[in-house]
Amino acid sequence: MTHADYFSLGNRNEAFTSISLYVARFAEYQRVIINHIYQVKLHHWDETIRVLASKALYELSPLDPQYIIDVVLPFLLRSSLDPNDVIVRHGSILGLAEAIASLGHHAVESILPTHLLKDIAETVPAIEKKRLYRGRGGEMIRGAVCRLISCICISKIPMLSKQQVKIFEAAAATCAMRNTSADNTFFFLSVLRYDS
Amino acid sequence: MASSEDGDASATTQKVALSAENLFVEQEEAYELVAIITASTSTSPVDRKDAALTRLRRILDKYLECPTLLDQNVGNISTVLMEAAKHVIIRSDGDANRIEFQHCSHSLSALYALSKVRGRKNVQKFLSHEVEDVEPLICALQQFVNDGKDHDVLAIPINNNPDHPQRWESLYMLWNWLGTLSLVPFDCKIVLGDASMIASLIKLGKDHLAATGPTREASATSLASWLSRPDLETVELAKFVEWSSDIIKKYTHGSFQSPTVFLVLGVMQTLVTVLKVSSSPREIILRLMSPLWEPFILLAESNACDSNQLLRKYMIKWWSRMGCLYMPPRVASWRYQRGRRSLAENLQQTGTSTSKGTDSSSQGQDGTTQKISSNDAHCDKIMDELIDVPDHVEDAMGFIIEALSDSSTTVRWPAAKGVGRLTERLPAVCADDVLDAVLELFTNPEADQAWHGACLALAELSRRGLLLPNRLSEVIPLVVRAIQYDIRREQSSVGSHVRDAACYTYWSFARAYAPSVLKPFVPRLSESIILTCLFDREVNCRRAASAAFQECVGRQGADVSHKFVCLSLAVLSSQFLDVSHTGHLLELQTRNIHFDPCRLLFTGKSQ
Repeated sequence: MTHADYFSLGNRNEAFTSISLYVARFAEYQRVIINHIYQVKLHHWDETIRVLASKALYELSPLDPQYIIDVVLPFLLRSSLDPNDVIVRHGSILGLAEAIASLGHHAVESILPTHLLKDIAETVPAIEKKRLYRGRGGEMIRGAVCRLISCICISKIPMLSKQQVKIFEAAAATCAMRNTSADNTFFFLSVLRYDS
Repeated sequence: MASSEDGDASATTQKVALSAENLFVEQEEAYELVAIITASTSTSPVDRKDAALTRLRRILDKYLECPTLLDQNVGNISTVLMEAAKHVIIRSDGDANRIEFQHCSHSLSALYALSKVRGRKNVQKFLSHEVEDVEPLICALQQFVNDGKDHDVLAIPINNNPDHPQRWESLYMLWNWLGTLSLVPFDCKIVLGDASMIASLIKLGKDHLAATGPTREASATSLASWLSRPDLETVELAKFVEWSSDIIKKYTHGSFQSPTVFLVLGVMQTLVTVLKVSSSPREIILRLMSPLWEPFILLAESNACDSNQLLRKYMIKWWSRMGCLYMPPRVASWRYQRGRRSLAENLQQTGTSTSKGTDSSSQGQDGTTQKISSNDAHCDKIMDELIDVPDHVEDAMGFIIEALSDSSTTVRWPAAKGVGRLTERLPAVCADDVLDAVLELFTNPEADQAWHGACLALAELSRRGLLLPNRLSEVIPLVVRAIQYDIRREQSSVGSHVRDAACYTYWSFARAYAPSVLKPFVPRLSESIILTCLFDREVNCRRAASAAFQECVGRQGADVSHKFVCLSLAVLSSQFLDVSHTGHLLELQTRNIHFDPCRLLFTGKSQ
């Protein structure tokens, strides 16, 4: 436990990503840490903390992929369409993106159940449909959606061509708003196009 | 904090003490500057002295963050400076010769610069306390004040060149010096001859209590230590109390010629310091002070002190010290007693023996220490019931508990300490009520200040053994929640102070209870603390949590988790070598600010 000491914890990025991974290797803390990340820290009021929490989720997912698939992903899919709180939506979309990216190191089609694959592919169009880009924090949501699109592409989540068009539109709209993460997204979109 | 306590670390501390000599990098330069400052004006002109003083202030200010690094030199430097000032002051003994203050003001200002960094009390103890110094110093102070009559005594002088020694710095040091001299163990009549000297000293002190700057604090503590001398107490303290009661009444009523808030602050500080330092029997000091009880109640009930946090802080100190006076000092018979404990033993158990061995040995230890023979327990219970708790104590406790949710941290801290000190003197039934009142502060989840105060109070109670193990099941869930406390307010959230305080509570629990007592709660607490340790937004909370957790691993030993056996402090050295690659330690070493014995050695090793 001396990995987690006065100095090493001084750096927040380190604390969130590498030291937390170290501590989470102890079975008794693993679930606690994952639960805390996806239930509490992804919905923290500070945007940088939400981003860090999503990165931590990326690091932690390989430790217990089954738990992520069975519990965390369904939860995040629900809360990323949360109608009330923009902070919850933003954090959930980010968390969803990173969890998918992490699982993408394996063949997603073999490990994810079909209904989850369907839901993931449908998330971006659903956000569009519910007009969740509108209002305060909309731009922030767009940034998160871009990250989600990138991760969906990296992990090669199967999609219908209609969904692909929607996704492309979402990224294009964001690009028009001069959001930097959109450029990255286009890169990944091209990956998607070539693959499917 | 852990390693400095156990015996076998003495070798470590010795080595560190050796290296501590090197930690004051500018040591030689500082002594040269002191030599310039203390030289007579004929050999070193004022300009040169000013420059030296400025440079010395700059050097010392660098150590504000870690003043203990100066410890080896504080004595030498202050003695040299004090001797120089004394030479000027004492030589012109008698009223014919006037003291040329410009000859010693540089030394006094340098002394102030040192006491600013290392703390007033640490420098004060090196000032001279000889009988023959008392009279000249009182005269000097008087003359110093009279000289300044032309322009305002209490204000910063007209010459506001910051390099120049400031007037108030000299005044501050002279008052501190007088405070030390009050400890001269001979009768005032012998030391000072006639009573007029002491009367003028007290008058001077009273005048200074209204100062707006730091000299108020110096004169208040100095006056307090004079007034609490056994030979002055009966007459002078009684008069002072009468005078203060008048001032407080006037201030409460807010009449036309009501005193300034600074005067009230000075008076209150003097009074609470008297309560702290006085060594006379409880009954005597209580009789002297009790006339002030009513005025203070009225002051507390009026809203006169709502706007001033310093005033509220002194009020809390007053209540807790007066409350303690109303109860005879005693060690609560009902408190949780754990007996001897040793970190070294704990760690040894963790490192070598199997879990079975540690269990049986720790149980044996607890069994013997906690067992009080039934006869004794019965007697204590009867004694407990016989203790009468005066209404005053209840009033004081009421004010103190109310202050636990004060808006300012500087008030909540003394309130928490007051809860601890006062509860120690109460019978078990009343102490249970106190705990109930503290726990009630947790009821409103939105009240972050109340949570903070309550966490501090719980920590104080547990450190004194006043939080009995049978209430832990009620308390622990609240602490677990407090460790994660975070309340969203608009665009941000509050609660880092609560989390920090809750880590302290956890830390003190880990130290206070035997592993067998805390065992059922440790998993839940540890989960919470680990999360704060890793994922808190604020660095101070992460660090507090990790310190608390390490304390728990050390104190609660193998019972925490078998996994920690291989991870405990034994591994510290190798881990540290890892960490140092990041450059943290290198940076620290060059900055010279870290002074934990154990860490320092590892730093050396990893370089």
